[in-house]
Amino acid sequence: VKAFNVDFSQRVPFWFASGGGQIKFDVNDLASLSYNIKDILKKNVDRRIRLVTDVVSSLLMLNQPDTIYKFFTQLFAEVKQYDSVVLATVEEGMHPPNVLAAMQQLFDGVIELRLYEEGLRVLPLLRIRKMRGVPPQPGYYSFSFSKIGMEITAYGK
Amino acid sequence: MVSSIVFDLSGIITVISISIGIYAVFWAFKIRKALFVRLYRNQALGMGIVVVLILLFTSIIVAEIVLPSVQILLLPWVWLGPLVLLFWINTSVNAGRRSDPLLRDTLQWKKLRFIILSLIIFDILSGLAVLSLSIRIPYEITLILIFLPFFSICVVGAIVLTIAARRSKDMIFRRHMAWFGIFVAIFIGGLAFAAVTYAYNYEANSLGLPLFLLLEAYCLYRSVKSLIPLNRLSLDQYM
Repeated sequence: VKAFNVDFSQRVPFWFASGGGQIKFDVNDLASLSYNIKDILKKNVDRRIRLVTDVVSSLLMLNQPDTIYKFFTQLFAEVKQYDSVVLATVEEGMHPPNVLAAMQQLFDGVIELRLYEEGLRVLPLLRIRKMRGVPPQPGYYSFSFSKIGMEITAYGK
Repeated sequence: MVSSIVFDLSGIITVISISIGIYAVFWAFKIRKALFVRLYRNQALGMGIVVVLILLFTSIIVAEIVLPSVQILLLPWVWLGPLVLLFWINTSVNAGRRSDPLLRDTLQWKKLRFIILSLIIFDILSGLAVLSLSIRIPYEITLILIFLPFFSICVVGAIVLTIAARRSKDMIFRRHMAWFGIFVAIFIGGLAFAAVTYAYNYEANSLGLPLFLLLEAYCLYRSVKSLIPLNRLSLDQYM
């Protein structure tokens, strides 16, 4: 986890990681991943929990998409019983469109971060592709990363 | 004697090729500026510098036709070239590793790169010692000193990057590597073409080489543009 250059030791009680985390993560062991997440949820039932993961693309590469679809369907059914939010990232270039669409269908919200070519400029733009319970927002937003975090500003021509 | 039409045409094609190369460098640095993760920024930077070095090499070779003394400018390129290539290969292997679900270390690259770096540094120091002390060494040793690190990094880099690209599941990374691989293949083809035609058909050599150069420039440009997935905004997609 130190490779990500982030120190959230005071705010993140648990890291699942292949190296350096409190709980060992094996990308080939879905059952263990599911068990550990549910175990943490049960132990923290009185707290608001935020689960952040970047393993979705890896799981989709190593398993059949329908296996991962079933895995997340069952996991989310459990997670939704608690006061929790799951944030996941998916690398667009790694999966065919139908797999991406299936993953997007599972989540309540989808935020797209892409680089756009406009003339001789490269623009990082974000848009809210889907957010249940919120009116659709078709616009684009510029984003950047700084020391204080992610900064989002309106983008317009 | 090369006809003037062939000479003019080859000159125009060469200028177009160099222009495409400069455009590729422009995009490499533009892409670098737009990225946030240091690893990918370095990958774009490495690609940009590799293209700059190739452009410099090409320009020196072209200028040598009219001004043979510029050949001396190849010497810094021989030393800088392997270092720049090593930097780019290192960032590309690391980028490929990030998109490998099993995070494999291709051919123990973490250790291998230091061996290659040591070889390059040894070569640079040897070359500097030979030049500064005006030591006379056999021609074969000179050739080895000049070309061994360069060819070592090319051969090792080709193997490592091919394996890293195959292991990576990122289609964008694979496409980027594929275009660079096509450039390398055309470059080698161009060298073979030059060797064959130089002695027997100078006119074919004069026109063929710029055409190879044009293809190489295009492949480098496509390789740079393939560093990231660039989307296009349509007119009705603004706030």
